[in-house]
Amino acid sequence: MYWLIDLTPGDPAIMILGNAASPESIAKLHEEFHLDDPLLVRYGRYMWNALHGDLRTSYKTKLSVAAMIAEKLPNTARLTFVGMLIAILIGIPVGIICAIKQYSIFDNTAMIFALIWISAPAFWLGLVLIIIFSLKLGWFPASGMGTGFWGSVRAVILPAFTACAAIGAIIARITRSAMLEIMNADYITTARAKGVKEWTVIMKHMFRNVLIPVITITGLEIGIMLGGACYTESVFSWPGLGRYLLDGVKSKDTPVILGCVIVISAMTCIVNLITDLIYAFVDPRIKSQYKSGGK
Amino acid sequence: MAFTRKAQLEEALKTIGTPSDYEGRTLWQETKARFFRNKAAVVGMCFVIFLLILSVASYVIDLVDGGKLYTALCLKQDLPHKLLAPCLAHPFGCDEYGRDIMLRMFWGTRYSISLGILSVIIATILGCTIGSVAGFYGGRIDDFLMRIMDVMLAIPYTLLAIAIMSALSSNIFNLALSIGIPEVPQFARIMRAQVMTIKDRDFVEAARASGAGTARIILGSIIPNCFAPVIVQCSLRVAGAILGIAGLSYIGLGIQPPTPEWGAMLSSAKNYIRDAWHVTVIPGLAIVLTVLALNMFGDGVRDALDPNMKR
Repeated sequence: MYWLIDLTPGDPAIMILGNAASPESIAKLHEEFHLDDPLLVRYGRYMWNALHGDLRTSYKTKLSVAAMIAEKLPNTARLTFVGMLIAILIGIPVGIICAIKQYSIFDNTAMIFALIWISAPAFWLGLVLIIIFSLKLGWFPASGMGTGFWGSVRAVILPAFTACAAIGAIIARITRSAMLEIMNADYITTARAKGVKEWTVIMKHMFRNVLIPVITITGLEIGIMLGGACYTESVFSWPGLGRYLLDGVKSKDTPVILGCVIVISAMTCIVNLITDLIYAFVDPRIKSQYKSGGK
Repeated sequence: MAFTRKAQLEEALKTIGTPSDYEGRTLWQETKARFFRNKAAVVGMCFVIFLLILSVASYVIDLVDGGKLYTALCLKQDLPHKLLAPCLAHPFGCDEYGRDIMLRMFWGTRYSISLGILSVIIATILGCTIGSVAGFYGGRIDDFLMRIMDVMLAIPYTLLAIAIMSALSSNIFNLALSIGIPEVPQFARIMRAQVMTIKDRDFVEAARASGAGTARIILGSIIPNCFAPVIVQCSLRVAGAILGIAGLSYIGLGIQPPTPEWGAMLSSAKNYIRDAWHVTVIPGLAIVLTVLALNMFGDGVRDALDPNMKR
C-alpha cells in the first residue's frame, strides 16, 4: 500500500508548501522529510515509526495523523457498534422466522426486501432516509452527531441504519439458509419426538447450531462496514475515520490515507481474530480442540 | 409441519426439475433448463439484456452522429427547467441544470454496465492466472502468491479500491482497475482450489503422458475444467463492481460530472435534496434495479451450475 501511494504523481513538498513555493524551500523540505531517500529506506522508516505509534503529520493541516485518528476512531466505532447491533437484532430474528415459516408470505416478502437492501448502495439509501425522516418528517437530524444523550441517540439512528441495511439483510439470509440446513437433522427430529417444546427446539437445538456461520458472516461484515464507513460518514457529515480518509484522498494527503488504511485494516484483522475466539465460547467442540492443541 | 423433508424435496424438484426432465440432455442443456426454471433469474436476465441493449444503442447513436445528440440532450444546460418535477414531457424530471434525467440515465447505462463487466474481466484474468499458477505448482510459489492474496484480503474492499484510485489518475480504465484489483484474491482462491482438485486427475496425466508442455496442460486441460465456479463468481461480482463504481464516482474519485454516470449524477444532485427529491431518488433507483437484476441473474446462474449449493 505504501508503494502504491508512493506512485501517486505529485511532489509532497509542493503539496505542503503550495505551487508558489521557491525551489529552495522545496529542497529544504525534501531534506527535512528525507523525501530524496530511496523508496525502501523511506518505507522502512515509515513502518518503524508506525509501529511506535507515529503515523507522520498531515500535509494539509500539519496535525499528527495518529492524534487525529485517535480523535475520530471512537465516532466510527460508535457508528459501527450501533449499526451492527441493529443488523443483528433485526437480521437474526427475521432469518429464524423466515426459516420456520419457509415459503410463507413473510418469508417471501422478507427475502425480496433483503435482496433489495443488498442491492441498494449505502450512499443512496442514506440520502433517501434523509429525505423521508429528516426533511419530510423531521424525526432525525440530517447530519452531525447531536448533543446530549438523546440528541446523540437520534443523530446515530439514520447513519447506523444506512450502514447496517445490507449487512442485516445478509445476516438474515445466512441465518435462514443455515437454519434450513439443520432443520431436518436427526437430533432435531429426536428432540421433537421426545416432546421438547417447539420454542426450545428452535432456540436451543437449532439456533445454537447456526450461530457459527452467523458469527462468521457478522465478523466479516464488520470489516466491510468499517471499509464502507466513508460513504455513510460522507452522506451524514459524520466526523469519523471514513470521512477523514476521504478528505485525505481529496487533498492527496498521503500520510492521512496511509494512516487510515493501516488503522482500519488493523481493526478488521482484530475483529476477525475476536470472531475466531468467540467460536470457542459458542461451540464446545471447537473449545475442546483448542484445549487439546488441535489434535 | 410445513417444512417436512417431503415438502422441501417437492419444492426443490419444482425448482430444479426431476431427473426424468434431464434424460438424454447434454450438460449445457441441463444447466440451461435449470436456469430457465428459475423465474427470478429469468426476469433478472431480461433486465440485464435490456440494459445491454440500451448501452449498445447509446454507443451506436454516438458513433452515427459524432456525439452531437449526446451533447445536446445530456450536457447542454437548460436553466428554465432547473429541478423540474417529473411530468409528461420529462417523465423522470430535470436535474439541477435543467437536463432531462431520463435521457441522462439512458446514456449513463453504458458506464455502469461496461465498467462493471470490464472490472470483473480484469479480476478474472489476474485472479485465474495467479490461482492456477499457485494451484498447479504448489510449494513456495503457492505460499508466496497466496500470502500476497491474504494481505489484499485483509484490507477492506472499498478501502483498497479508494486507495488504488487515489494513487492512479482518474480515467475510465483506472476506475475499472481499482474496482477489479480488490476482487483478484477471491478469483485466485477459487481457481487455486479448483486447480488443486483437478491437476491429479487421469485426463491431466494423459495429457502429460502424451507429451504436452506445462502451459498446454494448464490452458488446455485444467482451466477449461475449472470454469464453472469462476463463471458463478463472475455473474455475482458484476453487481458488486457496479456498486463500487457508482460509489467511487459518488465520492468524486470516479467518473466526473457532467458525464451522466449514475453515481456521479447522485453526487452532484445531493446538494439539492431539500428542493427536489427526484434528482437523487431516481438515478439511485437505476443503480438499485440494475444491481438487483444482476444479483437475481447471478443467483440463478449459481443454482443452475451447482444445484447442490443451498440458497
